[in-house]
Amino acid sequence: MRSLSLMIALVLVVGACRKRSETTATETRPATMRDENLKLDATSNERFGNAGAMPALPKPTGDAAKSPVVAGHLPEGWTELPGNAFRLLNYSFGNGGEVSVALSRGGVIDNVNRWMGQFGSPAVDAAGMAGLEPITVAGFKGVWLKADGDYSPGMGRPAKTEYGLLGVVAEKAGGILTLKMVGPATEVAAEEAKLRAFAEGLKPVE
Amino acid sequence: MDFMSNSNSLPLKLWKWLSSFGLATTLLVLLGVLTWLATLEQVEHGLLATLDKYFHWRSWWLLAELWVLPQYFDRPLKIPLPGGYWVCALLLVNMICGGLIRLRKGWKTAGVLLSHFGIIFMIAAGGVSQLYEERGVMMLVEGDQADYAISLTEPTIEVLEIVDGKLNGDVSVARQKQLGGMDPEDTRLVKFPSEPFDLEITGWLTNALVRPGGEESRNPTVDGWTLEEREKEKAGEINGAACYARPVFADGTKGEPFILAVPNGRSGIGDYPPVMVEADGKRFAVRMVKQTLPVPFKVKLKDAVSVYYPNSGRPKSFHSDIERIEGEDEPVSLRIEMNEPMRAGGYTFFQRTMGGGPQRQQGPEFSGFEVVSNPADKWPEYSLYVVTLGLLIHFVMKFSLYLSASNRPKPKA
Repeated sequence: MRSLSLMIALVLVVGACRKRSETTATETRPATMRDENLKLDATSNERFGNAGAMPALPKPTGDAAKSPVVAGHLPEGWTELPGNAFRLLNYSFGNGGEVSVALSRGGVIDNVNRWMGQFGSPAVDAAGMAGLEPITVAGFKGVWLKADGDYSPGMGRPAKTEYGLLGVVAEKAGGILTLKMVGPATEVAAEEAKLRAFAEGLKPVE
Repeated sequence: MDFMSNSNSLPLKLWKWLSSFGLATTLLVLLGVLTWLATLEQVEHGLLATLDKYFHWRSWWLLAELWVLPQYFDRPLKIPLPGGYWVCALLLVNMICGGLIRLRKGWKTAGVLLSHFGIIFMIAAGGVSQLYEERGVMMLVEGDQADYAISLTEPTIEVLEIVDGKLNGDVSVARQKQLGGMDPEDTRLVKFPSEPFDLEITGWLTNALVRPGGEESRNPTVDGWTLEEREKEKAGEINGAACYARPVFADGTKGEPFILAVPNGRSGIGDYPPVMVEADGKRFAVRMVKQTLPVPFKVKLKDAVSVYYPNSGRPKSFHSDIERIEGEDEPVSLRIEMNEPMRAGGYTFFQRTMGGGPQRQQGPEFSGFEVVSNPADKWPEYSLYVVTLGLLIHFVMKFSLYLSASNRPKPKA
């Protein structure tokens, strides 16, 4: 008990430090590849608008950069974000919700089951696919998909509980188009009408 | 030592307290309690925030939260406790005083002494790691190369002198040591001795979004943009720190204010472009970014191979074939895989994440390496060897004594 009392006293005395109003940064570091290709002289709009920001992941190049669809409109409450190597169109909403349009490989059923796997749901077979709601998005024919529960996004990102998925996996001439909304389950449910309107608004690029 | 002769002297009392079993027991119990409460609390507040609260050196004391009978009480019980880092530091002193200096020396205690030394070494390794470890992530798409990693958690302010559109010389960096502990209402002058201006920082937010401003904005609007505070994320690496800043020149005058921010991790944005400051006829780019960790060589990703369990995002195995390129030397081809890191130039590259490719049926293949610089990298391993050797010596010694005592003829009754 005496040890504990002495320690608490020590902690209170040493911990009673005031905040600093001035500090000195003497550290320097050598130049790296991160310091190349800086966007200099950007206005605030260019810095914080979508055009100026650098994507966290490399931008797509070659065929991957050619989006076969464009958004018809931006739903209210969604924020448009820069695309990246994996997302042709990229949005956020609510408290951590994400919407993305991407191109994928494989078949519709492969992608459906990959998404189902992220929620720990059993894989569907051909009969199960027939039971999913059909949809055509910008000429791509596919299905609506819903799932909720514990979401494991993979790629080292932490799992999330009480999450929801709502999306479309569609195919045209061997190409797969995905429209995916993930976020807290209640928020995803509340955004369903907007996502459906957004899906209908997607237009093919001629 | 004269004070040893006077049993009532304060130094002697302090010495006895520092080397006592009572203190050792108290500290070990406290460490157990801290670990238990931190484990419970990280579910609510996230791992990073909880580790900072319980075990960072800046945390001298804390109010641990414990939910007792939550069906009856709507608030957790708050328990004041000393910070884990300083409990370990005191345990280190206690082990040195009690477990080494005060312990009886002799061949019978050689094993115990060695084990105590190993434990002290292990505690010291933890302290050195927390003070000096640098940790970041290097993300590479196949075919790309990089000579830096990016911290997942530490926002920094960088000042880069620009000549002819390119960086000139080294980059000045204000880090957590300078920026930490600020609240939104605080104002702090961060001095850059290498540059002709300093920065006055205010309105610091641990997690914020940069939004178009207006009259209804809670925070100041600068050049049409404002900061919107967001709740701190449980996963601390998602937080996007932000603040308002203005240059303070050598003559004391102040420049126009501007916003510095790190994009929120959910945004998919890497870095915001820098803001330009002119001083002494020179041009400088100022930006807030997650800490840059320069690496003394380039790493080129040749092939990223990831295998997932069927129909899931659960990884089965990852490996990356890379080239390490140092100056004009011939590139060194290596493989980095799970539990088989690359150690070079004082850095350790662990395979951290993997994505894309045929297995994921999506996008290009990329690989992420956790890049760690830690002077105490191998110390825990060495300390385990020392502890094991010490316990082995002690066991063999005790066993020999037992055997020799058993073989001794028993005195006849």
